[in-house]
Amino acid sequence: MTTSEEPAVRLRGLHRTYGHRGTTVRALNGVSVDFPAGSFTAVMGPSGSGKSTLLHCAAGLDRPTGGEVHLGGTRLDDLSETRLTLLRRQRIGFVFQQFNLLPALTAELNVALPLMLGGRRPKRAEIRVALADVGLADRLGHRPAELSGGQQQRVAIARALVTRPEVLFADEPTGALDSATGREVLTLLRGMVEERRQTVLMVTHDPVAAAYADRVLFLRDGRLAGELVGPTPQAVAERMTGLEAEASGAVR
Amino acid sequence: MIAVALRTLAARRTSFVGSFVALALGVALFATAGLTLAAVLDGPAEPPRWYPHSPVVVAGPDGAGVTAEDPDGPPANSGLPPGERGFVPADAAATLRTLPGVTDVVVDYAGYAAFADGSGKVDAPVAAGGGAAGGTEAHPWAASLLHPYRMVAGGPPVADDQVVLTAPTGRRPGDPVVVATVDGPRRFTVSGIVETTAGPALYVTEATAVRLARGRVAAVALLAVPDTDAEALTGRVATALADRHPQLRVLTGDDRRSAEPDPDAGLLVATASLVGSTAGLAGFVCVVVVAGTFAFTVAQRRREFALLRTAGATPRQVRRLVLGEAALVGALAGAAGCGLSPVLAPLFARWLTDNGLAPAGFTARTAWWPLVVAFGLGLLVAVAGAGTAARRAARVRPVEALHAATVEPGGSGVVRWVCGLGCLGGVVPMLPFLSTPEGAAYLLVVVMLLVGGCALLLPVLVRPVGRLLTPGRGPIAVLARAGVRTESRRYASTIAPVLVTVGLAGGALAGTGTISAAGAASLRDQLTAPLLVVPAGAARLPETAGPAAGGVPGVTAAVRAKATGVFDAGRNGTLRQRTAWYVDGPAAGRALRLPVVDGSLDGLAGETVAVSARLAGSSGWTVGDRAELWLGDGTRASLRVVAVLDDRLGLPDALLPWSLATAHTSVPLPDSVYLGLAPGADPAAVEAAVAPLGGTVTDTADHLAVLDEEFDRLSRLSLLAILGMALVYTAISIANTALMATTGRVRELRTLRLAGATRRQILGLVGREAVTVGVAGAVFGALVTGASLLAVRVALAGYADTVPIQVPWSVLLVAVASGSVLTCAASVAPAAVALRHR
Repeated sequence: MTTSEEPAVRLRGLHRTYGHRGTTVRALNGVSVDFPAGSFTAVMGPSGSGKSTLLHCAAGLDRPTGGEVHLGGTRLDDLSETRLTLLRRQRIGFVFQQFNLLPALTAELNVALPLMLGGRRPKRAEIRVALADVGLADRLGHRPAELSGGQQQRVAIARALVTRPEVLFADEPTGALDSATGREVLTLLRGMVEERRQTVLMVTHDPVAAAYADRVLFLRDGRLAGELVGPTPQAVAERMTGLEAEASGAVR
Repeated sequence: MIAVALRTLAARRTSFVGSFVALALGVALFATAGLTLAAVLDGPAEPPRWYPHSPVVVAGPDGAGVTAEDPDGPPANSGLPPGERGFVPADAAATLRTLPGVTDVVVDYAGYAAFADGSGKVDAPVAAGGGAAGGTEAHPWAASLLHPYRMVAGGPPVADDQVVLTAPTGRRPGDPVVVATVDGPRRFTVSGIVETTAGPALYVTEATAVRLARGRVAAVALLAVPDTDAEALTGRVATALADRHPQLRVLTGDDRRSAEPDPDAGLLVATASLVGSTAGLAGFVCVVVVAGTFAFTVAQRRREFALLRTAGATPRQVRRLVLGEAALVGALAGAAGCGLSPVLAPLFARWLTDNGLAPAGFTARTAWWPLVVAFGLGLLVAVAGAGTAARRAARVRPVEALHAATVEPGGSGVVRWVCGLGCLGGVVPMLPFLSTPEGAAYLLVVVMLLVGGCALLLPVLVRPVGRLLTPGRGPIAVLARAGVRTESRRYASTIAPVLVTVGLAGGALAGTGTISAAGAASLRDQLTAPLLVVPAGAARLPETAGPAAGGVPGVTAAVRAKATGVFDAGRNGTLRQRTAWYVDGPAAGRALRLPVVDGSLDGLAGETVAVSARLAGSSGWTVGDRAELWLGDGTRASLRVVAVLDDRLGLPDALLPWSLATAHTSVPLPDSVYLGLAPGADPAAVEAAVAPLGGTVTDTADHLAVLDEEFDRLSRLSLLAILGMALVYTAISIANTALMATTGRVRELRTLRLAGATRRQILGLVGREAVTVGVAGAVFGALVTGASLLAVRVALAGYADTVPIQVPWSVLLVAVASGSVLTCAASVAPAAVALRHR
């Protein structure tokens, strides 16, 4: 990583523990990594390896217990809740496994929401373009319940990208979709990276999905456990099998 | 953002309708009570009937406090006791007569005078007060100048035993009539009949009027040259009186009406206090239900707010969205409630008059301020209720919120604990007031504090209690138990209306029942007289009934007694009304058990008083001190304390010698005469002695039983007036909340269905939970009832020998049963409908 350009996201010594009366879980245990601008990175690891926590901390949805999170030149981990929300709204996009659209709002309003929350009165054309970019120009007035899973996820991606964020975070974006629609969504994301130099950071457990990325990071027990540049599904699957074997061995 | 708010509202119809109904009905309830209260307080602004020809009328004080020595003293902040009036000193008339612009003054006397009209039979006087009866006051013939009249038969009274009656009457000039007066029944001859708009009255000669009024002037009415500026004249009169008689009222315009005796005044005071309680309780119930409902709808929408947060909404934006919605719903529902109340208030007023709780002719008019207050309260409570819940919902970080979307956060705020315990602790300073005559009103405050404290602490109390209420090992029991544990807030929200319903009904009925039972029992303990003399008809007993009964052989004491009120300034200078009796001093101990702790009643004559330990304590008086009191007619008296009595329910705070009654009460006649009898005394002889005076001898126990029955009837009706609408409202809110709760979890129930539960099992679970809610509400309501009873018992322990606990089991059962049935029906029905489609 010797680019002169500043990384889009920089994590330094990231720790996150969850405590519940005596039993503490170390979800992240000292993770330091950079995500260059314009890159598409997949984060993988066995269940409980801390990959979702990493994503949430990097995106400012959750707060690390220790370490630093930098987005561009801004340090996130010590911002107030409101400042953090404002920053997230302007500079970060997030896509969830469960889409998390507001059921009461139409696709159009769901996409317009981040702009409206920012105090802007979005232009109709702007929202149309954002939905057209994800192939849903004809679904403006539909409510989430009237859309298929793949369509809902594409609305969610349009919503995440409508503010032109520096980084798009995706937490298992294909986890709730069948493989065909999952592939459509991944192709869409890949396209965003190539056409707009959109930085994408995605958590997944699916080697096929991970192979759409430029680089795959592996996590185990809250620590980095290697990376794979220019991944193929087979290569990713082999690494994962190895990691899971070690993890289950550790449990025994 | 408004678009977002509107669309979320539209999408959450049930919760919107639920909040709307809760707030609209709450505001309607409060505004209805408020409109009725406004009608009582404003009073009927009517023109004078007796004094229309006199531009300025000088009347006695209508409250205590102002005296010539201390014109800036405590303000007349308290109306005179019901039935009492202030008088005008005789020398004031002379001062007024000499004022420029005054052509003449009419010195108006108003002595007690009651006679039966209609049959023409001349027998013992009956009927007074009632509308059909003849006039209840004797005025000098000169007072006929004060209002329009037409002599339809005969002429003015010229002899002292002549009387002019008002039409309609069955008597003719020359007919004899018997009139009950302060001197007992007196025979008059009708000299004439007048037709007048002034209302029924008896006109007699000046001399007779003076004697029947015991020389006390009710008012001085000024007659002026035509076209006199009443305002300017009023100013001159006020200036002329300011030095020596600052307590007198100078009345003009419609205010002159207040110089006329109002037979409904006492009832109107009672109505005001009753409707005041109704309004207070309505406000309380409205606050509890509305705040709870709005907080509940916000809590139900945690997931929605978490989604908004992940979409980039700041906590502040979420709060503003919630507050905006609450304000919108609050304004709409408040307006609807305010629109409903002008329809409900006249119905409520009508019910009050039909049941004798308000004077006939009392109506509720539409006034703006109760509506504004009710609207504002509704809006404020909605926004506050939603706001506190929104603060909680918005503070959670988006990811936590998404993960915990269905599981509510545990724990509860320090504020909740402080407020809840504060409410419960607030009962303690209320306890001393429970033994006062206004005890029943203070009891309502105690019950409200208990219910409010309990409702605030519900989210904390629900878990342990809910665990106990969901025993069993079947899948439904396990699910129900898990529900109580993880969704204690939903449970708390649905239990709260049941708690409020059962707690209010149980606490108020049990508490007031116990207070009145203790009072009745205590009064029986105090009245040792086996017999007493009471009026045979509606006319009062004359003063002479006492000596007449006392003269019968074997009668050891004949103690006249009349209830009134006195005022003391306390140590801080604010006037407080105290109960008082005029009694025949030294003999009182032989007919009443008066627990003298210091001094003796032997000296209770002349300018003296015996006071309760409570009054003595609050004023710092001991035997021998001069007690500064204002008597029933508003005059200040400096009375020597001759005895201090132990505080007892049923006994007044002050005993005044009978001699003061003659000078300081508008009708110086005894309510009853208590008799002390030697062995072998003949009640028939007493009966024979008092019958010509319009009295009859009755057994004390029978008499008290009749009084108790009437008191209980009125107190039941009063409680119904205070609680009725509020309980209907809380019952509706039980169903409303249960409906909202079930509709809010249809998704969860469908998930259960997918997990393999049959429809029957799910309905079983919902029903089981509803029963848990009903039972928990009943348990907490019963706790409130028990705590109310405990409070009453502790408060009255020092004031009565026994405090017979009264528990209204039937009412409690009905409240519990209807609460459970409503919860079950409103929970299971929507679940059944929702699951039918799958």
